[in-house]
Amino acid sequence: MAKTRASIDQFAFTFDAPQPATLPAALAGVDARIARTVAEVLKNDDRDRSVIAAEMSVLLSDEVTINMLNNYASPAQAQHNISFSRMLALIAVTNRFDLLDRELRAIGAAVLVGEEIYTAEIGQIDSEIEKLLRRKKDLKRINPTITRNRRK
Amino acid sequence: MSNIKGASTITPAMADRIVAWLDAQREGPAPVEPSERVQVWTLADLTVVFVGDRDAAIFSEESRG
Repeated sequence: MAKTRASIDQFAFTFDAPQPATLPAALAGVDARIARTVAEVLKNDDRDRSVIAAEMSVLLSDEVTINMLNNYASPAQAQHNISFSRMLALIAVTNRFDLLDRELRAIGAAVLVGEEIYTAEIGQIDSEIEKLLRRKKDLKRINPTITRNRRK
Repeated sequence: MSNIKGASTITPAMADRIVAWLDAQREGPAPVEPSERVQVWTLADLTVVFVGDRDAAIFSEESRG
């Protein structure tokens, strides 16, 4: 398959902590919103929809047609919502992780792609180091001498 | 073309349809250039053909691609 290209107009990643969806109707209308996101993905990819559908088909080993994509992209076609697996395939072949991130933030999650996970790991390591240093400081304050098994 | 027709995972009937589709693309408004990369992916129930990254078609035993 052709190599996917990152769109130049992707949304920037933000470190704002997303809030979980807990309020009643917090996810109302999400089907239509996802359909608009599908439309946005397709509109901003300069490849023919037949190519996008074919790449999705290869990834899924299941036929995805242009008509299906058109239906998924139409908020009016409520009976043709895109499945989660096909949404994942669409994101993967178009490289629009920014839009997946935008959608997942609605339920309090964010997306890290590939080696970006190491950035989170650096934060985790720093946090662990800070905790251990605090523990070391506390222990130093107590500072007991080990007297067991001392030879005279 | 002979590669497609000789592929063990593609039935002769499907190979004919793929070749016919490629021939049709060659005669279209944006013909397939001899140097253009044609990729054929054979999966469990379907065969997917790419012409570079500008055109593609899906073939299965039931569909017409």
